[in-house]
Amino acid sequence: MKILQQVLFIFLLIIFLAAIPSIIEIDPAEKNISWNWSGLGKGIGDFMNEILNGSLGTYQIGNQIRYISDDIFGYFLTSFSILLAGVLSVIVIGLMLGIFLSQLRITRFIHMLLNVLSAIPDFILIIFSLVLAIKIYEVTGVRIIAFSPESGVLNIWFPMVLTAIAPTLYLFKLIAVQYYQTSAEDYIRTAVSKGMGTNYINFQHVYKNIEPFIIAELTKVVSLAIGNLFIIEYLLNVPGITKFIFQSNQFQPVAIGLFSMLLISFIIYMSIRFVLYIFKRGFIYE
Amino acid sequence: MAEKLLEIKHLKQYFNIGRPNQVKAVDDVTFDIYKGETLGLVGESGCGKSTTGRTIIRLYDATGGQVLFNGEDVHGKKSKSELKKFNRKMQMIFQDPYASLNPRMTVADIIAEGIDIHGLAKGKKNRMERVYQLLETVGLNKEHANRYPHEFSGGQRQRIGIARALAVEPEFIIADEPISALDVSIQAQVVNLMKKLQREKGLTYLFIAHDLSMVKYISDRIGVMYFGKMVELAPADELYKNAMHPYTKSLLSAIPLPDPESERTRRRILYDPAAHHYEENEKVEMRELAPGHLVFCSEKEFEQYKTQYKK
Amino acid sequence: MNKFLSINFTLYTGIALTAILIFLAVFGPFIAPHTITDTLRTSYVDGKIIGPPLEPFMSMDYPLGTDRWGYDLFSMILYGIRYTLVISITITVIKMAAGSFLGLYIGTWRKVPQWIQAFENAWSYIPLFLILFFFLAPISVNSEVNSFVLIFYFIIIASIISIPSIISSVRKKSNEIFKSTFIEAAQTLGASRHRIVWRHVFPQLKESLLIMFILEIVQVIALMGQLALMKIFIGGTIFRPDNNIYLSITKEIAGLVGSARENIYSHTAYILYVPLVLLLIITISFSLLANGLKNHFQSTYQRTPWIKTSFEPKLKPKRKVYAKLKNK
Repeated sequence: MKILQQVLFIFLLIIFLAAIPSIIEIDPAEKNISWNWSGLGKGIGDFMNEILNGSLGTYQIGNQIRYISDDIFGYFLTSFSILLAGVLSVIVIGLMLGIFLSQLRITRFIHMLLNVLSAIPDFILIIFSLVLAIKIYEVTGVRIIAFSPESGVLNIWFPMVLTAIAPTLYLFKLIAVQYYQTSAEDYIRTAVSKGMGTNYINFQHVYKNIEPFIIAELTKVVSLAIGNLFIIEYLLNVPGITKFIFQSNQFQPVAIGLFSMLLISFIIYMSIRFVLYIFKRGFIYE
Repeated sequence: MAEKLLEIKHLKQYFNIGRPNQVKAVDDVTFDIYKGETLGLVGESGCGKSTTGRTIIRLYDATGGQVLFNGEDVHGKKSKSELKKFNRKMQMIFQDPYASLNPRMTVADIIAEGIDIHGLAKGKKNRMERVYQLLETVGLNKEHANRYPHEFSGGQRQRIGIARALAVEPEFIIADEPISALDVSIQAQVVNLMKKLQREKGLTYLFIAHDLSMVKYISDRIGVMYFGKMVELAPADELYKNAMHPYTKSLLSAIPLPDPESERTRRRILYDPAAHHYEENEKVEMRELAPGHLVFCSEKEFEQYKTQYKK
Repeated sequence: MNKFLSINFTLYTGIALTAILIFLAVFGPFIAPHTITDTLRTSYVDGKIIGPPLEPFMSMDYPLGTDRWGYDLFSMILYGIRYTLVISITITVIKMAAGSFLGLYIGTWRKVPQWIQAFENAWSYIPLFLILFFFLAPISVNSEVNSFVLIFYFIIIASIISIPSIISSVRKKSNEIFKSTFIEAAQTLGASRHRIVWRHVFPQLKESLLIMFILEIVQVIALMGQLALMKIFIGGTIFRPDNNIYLSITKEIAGLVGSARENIYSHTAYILYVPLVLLLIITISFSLLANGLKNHFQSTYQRTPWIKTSFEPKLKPKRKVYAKLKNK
């Protein structure tokens, strides 16, 4: 029931967002902002018509008008793989640094570094990473990024890294705080007093108690990753789903782009849940 | 006996109604509380005695039944001023003296909260005078007024809780296991304080506890609860002498005595609710065995209890 | 030495930096060596050509250099910083006031209706800057509307769309406290809902609301930065199609970053770095302030872990002194 309501809300929200550009106008005579609600009905009507005719409609890129159905598959795959790789690495890095490797001496320095970085807003981090990549190219001649959509592998792994930065910092901070709190619990004291190893305690007592928090924050992590993906695809000219969203302000491509994003994030959310489940089954309950 | 202050009629409190995990915390409980007496309510953890207290004072909305205070229904009330009137007459002392005091308020503010809500003091000076007086009544002194709860011991905190309840000059106080969280050496002090206050102010208590030995000391009558039902209600001495319901017997057999000889020979009676062998359409209800002594039983059991009853 | 280490440096640095920023926001235009319309003319000084774009630290008159057309970067950020701070703080005040107020009261409900939770979840899924992008994109570029109208419009929409997340977190905290026994005690005394919220729940949340407030300012600045990367500048964007450049009307700092974005690939990258570093300083000072406050409040209640963790708190708990012990 709750899931159903949630889906309904997201659906309405997407329709509304896609329609906003056709609702808000500037009134040239009064030099003021005016709302034109008739745009909403027309947009939805056209959208439904296209879908019912079995077509996804067209979108504009530069001066070109292209069919959405021609490009959507490739774009979907690109965005999906960037986001999946990004979020997966977020979870792995977060868990590793936050819990399982938190005893190592090196991890301490990484922790300090991550703590400082997490105070910086994500868009600044993205710009700094771009600067860093360019500097590396200038000094060593190694190409880390490419800006034309045809450069294949180069074009996809750098966005993956950038997408992962902000959610990693978020998740890491969360896990670190939880780890600190959990480690002060009495059942940890009991475990320590019984002479159990730190690794065993980390797996059996700490992880089990932190997992619910991770799952609760998973939507936030995915949402952060999506937010960054939008910016990165736009900045680096990645041929992903955002092409539909930022290139034109027609109802049709924007709505289809947002729905594709919704589908992507749902699949990714589910697969992360699955990975966590497998991890728990495989490692915690031998 | 004296006049009735509180009548509880067929009180029901169910949680999670209509769901598979529905709980009948209080299930059709009926009893009266007389003016100036102390009614002890005992039973094991989770039997619904605290819920009964909380429902009477309207911390929970009753699922069914009536609570009459001086003949007026407490739960039917709607208007705010009428509700406030009841809040003044009925007060509660809580089990956990650590959690029931707001850690960010001074003792004076905690005690004066009821005075502020009901506007009982004129001016700041009068308010503080009342607070000092209340502190003295419960055996604390003036200097404690501007301190914070964490600076006090459990017994002192419970005294603050009592002072808070007394601030609105109530007639009836529900004491929800007020001594369970305290050290044994302190328990008697708090109980004696409550008895002293009862004499001085003519208070009526509903004293909820899981410990029969202390309840006997303070109560005039005792009610025994089991799984949301009242199973036996009798004057305190009568209950100890002539316990009829097997659950009451089991409870009595569990009281430890400070005497090694009798401890060695003490035999614990176990209670098994299946032992009643109630038939499907048998009417099981409270029946009066002797004046003021009620037992929850079927017709057949009633006859049986009658023969066992010692005069 | 021990005493020195236990000083809350984070807090004091945060306070000092924030004070400087507020000073600059108030007096910026009076300190600025140039107006934002002055340009550097190419000239010969000691046999060297000085002309736009001038790099930082080359001339005393233009300490942080100029952009391609000779506008002084230092003056630009001094004019812009007030917009950044005032806009972000105004939005935070509105959303925190509305969000905490509603959150405190919703927290006192026995049960939160399912649709509220569903709405919260749905809302948290869509990145906020995207919503703002759709609202602002049609009206921001080469807009005929006055830039103050655009700022006002941004403040209203940004506040409204970020209220749900604030309600959600305040309501959870408030509900946690509302379950305490002392709330029940107040109820039996006849305390009204308002009294419980303002006398019992709010005092317990004061500190965490303060910290949240400061962190939310950073969130708003981040939001402005994300929009700036999409060429939506608060107060309006000027687009010159012939050179393909975007300019911020208000010189708001995030806008300066966004409009200088293309310089990243050229030798004039400093035009980007100057506002970017300032923006970094702004966000870091607020973060320091928030973290300092958090340490200040938390050190007293922190429990000590039983196993080694990678960060140990350096601050010692501060004990309240109620009565001075006499040394005899």
